[in-house]
Amino acid sequence: MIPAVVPYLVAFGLAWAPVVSLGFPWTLLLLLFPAGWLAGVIRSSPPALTLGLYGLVGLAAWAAISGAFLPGLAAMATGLVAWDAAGLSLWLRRAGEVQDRAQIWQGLLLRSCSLASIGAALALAFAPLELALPFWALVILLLAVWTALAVLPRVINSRRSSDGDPDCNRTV
Amino acid sequence: MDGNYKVATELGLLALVLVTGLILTNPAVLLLALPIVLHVTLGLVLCDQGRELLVRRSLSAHRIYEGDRLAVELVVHKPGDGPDLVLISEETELAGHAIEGSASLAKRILAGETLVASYAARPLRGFYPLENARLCARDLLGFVTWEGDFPCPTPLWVLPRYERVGRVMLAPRRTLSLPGAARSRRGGVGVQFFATRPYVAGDDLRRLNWRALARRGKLVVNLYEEERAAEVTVVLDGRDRVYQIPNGREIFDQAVRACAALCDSAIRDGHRTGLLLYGERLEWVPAGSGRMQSERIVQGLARAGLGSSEAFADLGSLPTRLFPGGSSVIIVSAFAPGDEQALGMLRARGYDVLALVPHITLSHKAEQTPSGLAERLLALEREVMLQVLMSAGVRVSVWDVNTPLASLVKTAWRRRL
Repeated sequence: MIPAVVPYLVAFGLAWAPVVSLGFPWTLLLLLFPAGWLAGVIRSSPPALTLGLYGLVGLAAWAAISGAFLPGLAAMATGLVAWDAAGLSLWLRRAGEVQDRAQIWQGLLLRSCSLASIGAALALAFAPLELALPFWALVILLLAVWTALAVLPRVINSRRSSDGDPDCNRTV
Repeated sequence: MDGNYKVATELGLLALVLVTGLILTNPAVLLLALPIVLHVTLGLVLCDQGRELLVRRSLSAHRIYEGDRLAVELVVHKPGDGPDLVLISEETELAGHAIEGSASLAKRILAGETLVASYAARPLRGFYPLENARLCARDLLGFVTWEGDFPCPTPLWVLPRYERVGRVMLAPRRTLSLPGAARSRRGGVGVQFFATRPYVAGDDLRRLNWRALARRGKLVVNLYEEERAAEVTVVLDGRDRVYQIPNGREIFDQAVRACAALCDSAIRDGHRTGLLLYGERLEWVPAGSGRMQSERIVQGLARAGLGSSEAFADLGSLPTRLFPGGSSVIIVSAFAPGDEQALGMLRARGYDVLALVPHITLSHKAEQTPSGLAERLLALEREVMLQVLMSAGVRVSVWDVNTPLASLVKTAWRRRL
């Protein structure tokens, strides 16, 4: 449970600190997100975890808009690690016994942290870049994103032929 | 969390961030989408899509007696590409009887590695087909998850544990032309005196009755009762309502064991023995003899359970056409009011009927409670019913299941009739 909660709390702290410093008293209400995340991990509830992730990303975006881009980016990367860790935590809970638990967590954190770091590093690398886009280019870009997001799930699903059923149902 | 759910959540998140960034025309927000894009795409690229796994289940024995310890081993082998994490679990009734180890194990396995989940169980009586093993797998990040049942049929019989009882003396009207242990009511080769008749040339001189010769001055020979094999049907009453008494389930289990012991005794005595399970439905093991028949009967009894049906609510629906005319019928039941008529009818049709009534004697303390009083009344009612049965010629034995059945058989059913 600890690997699923600690990264989230760190990410939330990173995103929340710049927002709180803006001086809105109701930002204290945002503390409900970590509480929801904790409840999601304890009660094995994916919807609660999803809500927690969306809340965290929203907060990171707000921090980025408010000028704290680096804390926002760090919060986003750490949040993705927490999301992976929570998924594994939920999955492992189904097992009566887990062999080499430490090795499994080590493997997950290594892979997840690498991906998040690469993403964050790439974002940092692109940060100084300045592009001036006209309005019509923005509209086309928006449509392209829309189309890509509509097509991508189908492509992924076709790659994974039958999610839910093992293909090689062989026994010795 | 399902793989599809995870991908959909991240794509949704990506869409929200991108749309917000584009609407606000804020490059900082758009840049926040980059870690998500990389997380989804690289996560899907790096995960192993292979699903080739070999699953095997092995049992320490395929045929055990209730109370025996059974060792179970579930083995998953990953020969090549495949998921990173595998969770094997035994989602059968057998896992509920585990006493050692775990019937559900997760491990990270690499190509060529094996996952072994072993546990020990003490299963209850019954037949366990154990057809599939449940397998859940995922890649490390959880983008690809799947689960399914892998066929690895390993049937298991947990047979009733029964005691060995002595000979049950049967007196059917008809016997078979095979040597056995049932009274045939005809003179011949045997050990028990049957009658005398005048000597005829060729008779064995060792059978001469010297006392009769001294008294009557005529040669007379002794005849002995021939012992032959008989057709025996053991009926196990599995009607729910009959066992709706205190400790009913335990009494039924003891009834099953008693049936197994009586069938074993009958087969050992050379009788052609059949079994009828009467309850929710009829289950019939046709009469036979020998070791295979013994196995068929205990397997039938292993599957015996309580049930109810309108058609077989009372013993009046016993399918008597399955019982050979004049044969012996042994009924093991706790009986309910009204059953005496059906048994009386059987007796009237010429069957040799034996009834074994399993019960648990209440302690003196329990008898003092209100429910104990009710149970005593029920016991009295049953006693009256048993008296009726005995007067109809049914050989009734009431068996306290806390005492050995062998001693009851020895005292009640071993006597010559």
